[in-house]
Amino acid sequence: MTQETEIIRQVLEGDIESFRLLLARYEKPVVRMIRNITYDKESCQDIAQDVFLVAYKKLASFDPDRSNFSTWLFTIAKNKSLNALKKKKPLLMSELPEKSNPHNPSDDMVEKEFFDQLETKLQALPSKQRRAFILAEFEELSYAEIAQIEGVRLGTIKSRINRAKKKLRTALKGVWEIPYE
Amino acid sequence: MNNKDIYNAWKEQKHQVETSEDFTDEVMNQIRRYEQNKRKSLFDVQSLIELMSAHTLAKAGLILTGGVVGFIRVVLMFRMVLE
Repeated sequence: MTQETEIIRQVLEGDIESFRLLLARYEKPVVRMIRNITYDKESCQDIAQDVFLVAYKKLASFDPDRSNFSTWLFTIAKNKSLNALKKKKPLLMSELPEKSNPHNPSDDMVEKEFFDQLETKLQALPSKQRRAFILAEFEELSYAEIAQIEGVRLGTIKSRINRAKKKLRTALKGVWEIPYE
Repeated sequence: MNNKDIYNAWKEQKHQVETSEDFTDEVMNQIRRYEQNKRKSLFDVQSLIELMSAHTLAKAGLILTGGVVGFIRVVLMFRMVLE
């Protein structure tokens, strides 16, 4: 029995405080995933809180034989993010994430230019491709995990990610190249 | 900086996240409120729906019961019409 399964068993037996351990482990990954899908820095924490509340309420339906807890939780987070996106107005450039980690002024300019272009091109991708790309590149999830979260076959995810990378490369050709794995 | 460095810097930026200090406490408070409400009204409609939706067998049972009741109703209706 994994440590996580043990924690879940304790929560289901009425030890609510054990849920803190799951929160501590997944708080940041869930918030980050929601922010990267919705681009909404203001409400991503509210959505994440909602995700954890739903996870708590539905914990009895989690089946460790069917998926990892993280995959199950990220599926809830993805669905909540998509619902939030449906309700949200279209994004403005000014809402895009700001850059960080400045090195020197010239580097800053180059970085900012590339980051802006990357964000714009990333947003222009079809939503399914963009989501698969985000989960693989920023969340560093395995293709198998992403396939489970998206509810599609592994090959579909590989194809979506490859297409996303290809489109980003094509769109930024001559300016910038996405490094190959 | 070369392309790879810039790409990694972008990834690093997307990877950084700050959460509020009271994030965990806020979620735990919501969970406690939920548990209190659940105990207060165990048999209200909302709790019943949540209970049903959390258990696959309960959902299947509900659908099956609905189907059987519907079928009986249709049969009775036909019998009444034919008589």
